[in-house]
Amino acid sequence: MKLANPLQYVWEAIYLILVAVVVAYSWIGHRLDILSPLPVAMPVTIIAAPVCGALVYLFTMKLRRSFYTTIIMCLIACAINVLFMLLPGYKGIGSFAYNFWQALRMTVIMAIYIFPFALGGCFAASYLYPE
Amino acid sequence: MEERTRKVTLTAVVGLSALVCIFAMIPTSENFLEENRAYHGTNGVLINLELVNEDTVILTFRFVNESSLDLAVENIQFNLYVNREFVGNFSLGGRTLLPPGETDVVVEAKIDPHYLPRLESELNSGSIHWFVYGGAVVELPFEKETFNISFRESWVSE
Repeated sequence: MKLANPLQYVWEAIYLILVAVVVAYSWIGHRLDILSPLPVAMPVTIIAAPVCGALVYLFTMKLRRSFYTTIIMCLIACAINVLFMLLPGYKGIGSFAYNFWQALRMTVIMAIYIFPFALGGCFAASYLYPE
Repeated sequence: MEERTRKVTLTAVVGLSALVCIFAMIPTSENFLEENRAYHGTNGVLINLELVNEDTVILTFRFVNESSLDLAVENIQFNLYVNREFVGNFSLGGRTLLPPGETDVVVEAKIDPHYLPRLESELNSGSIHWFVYGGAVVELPFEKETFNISFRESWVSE
């Protein structure tokens, strides 16, 4: 098995993190729309996950590989979301336990949407643009 | 399209989008923290109560705003009791700005004539223990977002 250039892996990792930031913000911007200078409407939030899944596939153009990288991208997006929602608890504002459960609740709802939608976007892109 | 060109184009598009998202996240996080400070750090206490003209009670509430946002009290609503006897429910409107720090809000509650005999009998009995049970609607500076604070205060007047 031929290993790719390590720089390719670094590039791909950075790309995944950037895509995850976009997915995470689509939920943060929707959930905290009145607090955000760039509020995100619900349809955009829903569409963001499949579009980002497709972008992950288009980067590698390998379905098997992009399936796993999409899952990793969704996990990073969920982690960013949890960390963002935990900010008040981390800063000592209010109860940490309350903030934790709120963050977890929002992230579980987000995960229910983004995992299937992002994987669906990935598969749809692979159908439209085969390997 | 060549593989490298495709990857560079996708990275540029995603990178720009992520940059916009990061720049939007920074003020969102600041507003989110201040909103939480406002929710958890705003409270009101009764610091003075005076009976004037035998039918009007002047109450002074001190509101503490621990956030850096300019909040506003939209409405103060409370039940007033004199020695555990109900003398009225008051809903006092009027928007009062609550800048960061402490703000005293004075409200005037005119007691309904129906409850005046009860108040007079309690006045004749000596010292009065006033109870104020109620709350206030506080407005955040974000598209009419509001939250409620409650208070259970008491005051003794001779």
